[in-house]
Amino acid sequence: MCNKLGMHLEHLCRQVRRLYTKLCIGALFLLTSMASYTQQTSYTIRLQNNAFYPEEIVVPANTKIQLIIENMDDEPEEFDSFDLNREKVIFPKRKVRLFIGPLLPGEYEYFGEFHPDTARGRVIVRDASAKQEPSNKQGDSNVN
Amino acid sequence: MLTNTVILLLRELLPLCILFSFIMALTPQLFANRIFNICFALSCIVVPFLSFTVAEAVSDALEGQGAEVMGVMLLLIFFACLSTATLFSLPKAKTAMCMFIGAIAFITYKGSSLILYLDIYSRQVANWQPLVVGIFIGLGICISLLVLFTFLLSELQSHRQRHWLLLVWLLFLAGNTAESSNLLLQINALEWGVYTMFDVSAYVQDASEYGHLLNALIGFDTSPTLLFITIYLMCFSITCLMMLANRIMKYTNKIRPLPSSLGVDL
Repeated sequence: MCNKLGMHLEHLCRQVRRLYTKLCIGALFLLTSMASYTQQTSYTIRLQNNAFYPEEIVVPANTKIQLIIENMDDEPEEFDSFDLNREKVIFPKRKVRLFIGPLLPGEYEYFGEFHPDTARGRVIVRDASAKQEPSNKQGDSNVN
Repeated sequence: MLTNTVILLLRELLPLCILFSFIMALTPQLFANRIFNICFALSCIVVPFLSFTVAEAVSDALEGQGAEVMGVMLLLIFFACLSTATLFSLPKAKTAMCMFIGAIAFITYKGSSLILYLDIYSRQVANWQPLVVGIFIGLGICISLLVLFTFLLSELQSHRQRHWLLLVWLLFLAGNTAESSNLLLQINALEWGVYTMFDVSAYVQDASEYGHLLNALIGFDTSPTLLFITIYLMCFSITCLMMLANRIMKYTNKIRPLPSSLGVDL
């Protein structure tokens, strides 16, 4: 009886091991090949003289946003934000795209990790009614 | 610049120090092998430098998503190899190989950003003093924590509190692997799990010293997304299940016990 139970348990453990191996391998291939391209509202931020322009962008709440960051400088910079949970190195004269949101209304700070004193900015998230307000500081937005 | 250097070292180097502490506590005999030590030390320096030299090309690859894809792959390799090395009863050579690959993947992931930062400043800075002082302070803090944490983990190991040691180790693995969720959401690879579940930044901030320490130790995030929590719990539960499965198999005496030379006794 005990021996039989032991055999069943061993079989179960082997199944768990196989499942674990398959999960690891599957995750490696699947998660890295799931890029999807859907219509997104995009906002452009330029990095020049180690500072972000515009420093503030106003985006709608509860919407996924694409940020396009252009590095006009001759040295790399890392776009970093604890509030947005985003981190990306931008090499000189390159343009990168990253997605943020959906976000709740509020202010989310970002900075350049290599020049945090000068390269700083904020993403201001407003709800749908406030989104329509014109703002000179808003980054270039367009729908891709 | 001094503060920036110290913060960057804490962010990038502290998780590596904690990883070394765990490896030394879980598999102390690995470091008794001279050849392994030399290979490991060389790889810790060479591989991140190689990654740094190709970072620009990697970043441009896959329509600008190469760095994120590479990051996710490195984190998955880190999780798969290190959990396999510590949870399966593998022969010593295979355990060493898994530890080696997993640790190098993690060092490459964390180290390339640090090298990039140091490279930029070493090229442009006229006054080296703040950079050098910052490196020394950052290294000092990291090494102090490495020694302290290694001592703590060794004490847990020697006082037959391995279950606590393994629990923290599994949290460390799960927490750092769950970082891949941010990379996946950053490139819009997944539509699911994008919403933030809660926000505890009023108590501990990500940018604070405690935030950095907790992040390095258990992958703490003040405002985690559903995807982050899902990956975290999945990794943690899978490894816990494996640990339990190994215990059952050991109990039934159908398999060889774990190699005692590795110091990992589940």
